[in-house]
Amino acid sequence: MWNWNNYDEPSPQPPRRPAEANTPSKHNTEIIRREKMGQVAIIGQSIQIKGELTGNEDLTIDGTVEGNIQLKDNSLTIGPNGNIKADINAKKVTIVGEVQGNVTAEETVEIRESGKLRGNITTPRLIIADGAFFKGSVEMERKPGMVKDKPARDDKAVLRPELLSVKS
Amino acid sequence: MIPGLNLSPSRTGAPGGTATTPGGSAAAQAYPTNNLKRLLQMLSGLPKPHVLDLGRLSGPNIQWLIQKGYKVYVDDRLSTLKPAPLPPPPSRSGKSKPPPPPLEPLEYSPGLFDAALCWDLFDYLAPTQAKDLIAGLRKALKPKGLVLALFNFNRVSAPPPVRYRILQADQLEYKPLPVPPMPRRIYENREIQEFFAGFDTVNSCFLKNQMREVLVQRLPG
Repeated sequence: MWNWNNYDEPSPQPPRRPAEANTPSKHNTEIIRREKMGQVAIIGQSIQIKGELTGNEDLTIDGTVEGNIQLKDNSLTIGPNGNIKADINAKKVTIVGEVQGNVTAEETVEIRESGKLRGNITTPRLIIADGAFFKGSVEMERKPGMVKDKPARDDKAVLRPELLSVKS
Repeated sequence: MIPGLNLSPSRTGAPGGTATTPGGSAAAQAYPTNNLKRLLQMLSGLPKPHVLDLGRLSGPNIQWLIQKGYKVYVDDRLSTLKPAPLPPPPSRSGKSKPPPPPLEPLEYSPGLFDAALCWDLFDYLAPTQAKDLIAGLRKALKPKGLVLALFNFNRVSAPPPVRYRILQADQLEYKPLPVPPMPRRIYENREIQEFFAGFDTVNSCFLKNQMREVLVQRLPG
């Protein structure tokens, strides 16, 4: 079965400072922890699904899905072998494989270095790694009471050098 | 030495004249710009400007722009570009050179965008490709839509493709990409003016780092 270690950076990461705790890697760590505890559902590489996919738990898709994916209160990860032709609506979306469709995330959309997305994004926070592919539009959907944006200069506080990420 | 660019061969350690840090990685260079600031000022007051970014994909730029309240469209033209061969040296044979491969057309609704950003793009296009792209861009822009385009005039070295990043409205940063150098052209001012024949020049300036920044506005009609 595929696991996160298959595509995480091969070199050891430097220790993270507390000020940078709210980074994508924390999200990844949480997913790894939950995956080890069996709390992340996984759709394996050989699985193909056509239709509507809904649920109330975090999900990793490494197979093929065509249709519609609804995980409004949970995180969705498209693994390196994942091939999605669907509109996605989730709390957090991480793309390592390929997605063709519109992506709406309540919190974050992250496209990793190997990730490819053709479609439109609606999210308050977007992280795109160098080398990723994206074609489409991006629109911010801000909820009332969200924290005010930090100035662009704060972008440099991001920990992982391979990610060009910013905080909202 | 050219301030801000550091592409002199004596200071370079990577193919194509890339400025490098002591550790060997390509160094990012920041420089002041007025044209981006001017573009943003001209967009201010519009309800939700639609901005098309045709340069190298940059997550921070997208985030920076959407935080301004823009709707950002990303179409990284260089990621799918088959480099056009440079013209051969003049000969008396009279043989016609093969035309450059056509660019994928811009597939957007007419009059959709308030502005387009063309960072490190035109230097890698053949003249016919650049003209086709600008013609498509003109259709996709609203009347009085803006285009910010950068042209590299560095004749000394062949800088590799770079990724631009907006640090502030009046400050840009570019970083050489770890990709092989692409065939690059240097367009003269006259050629740039011809490219943007259907546009009015808002501002055009030559920077110390050998870049020309051009801010143009679509003429009505």
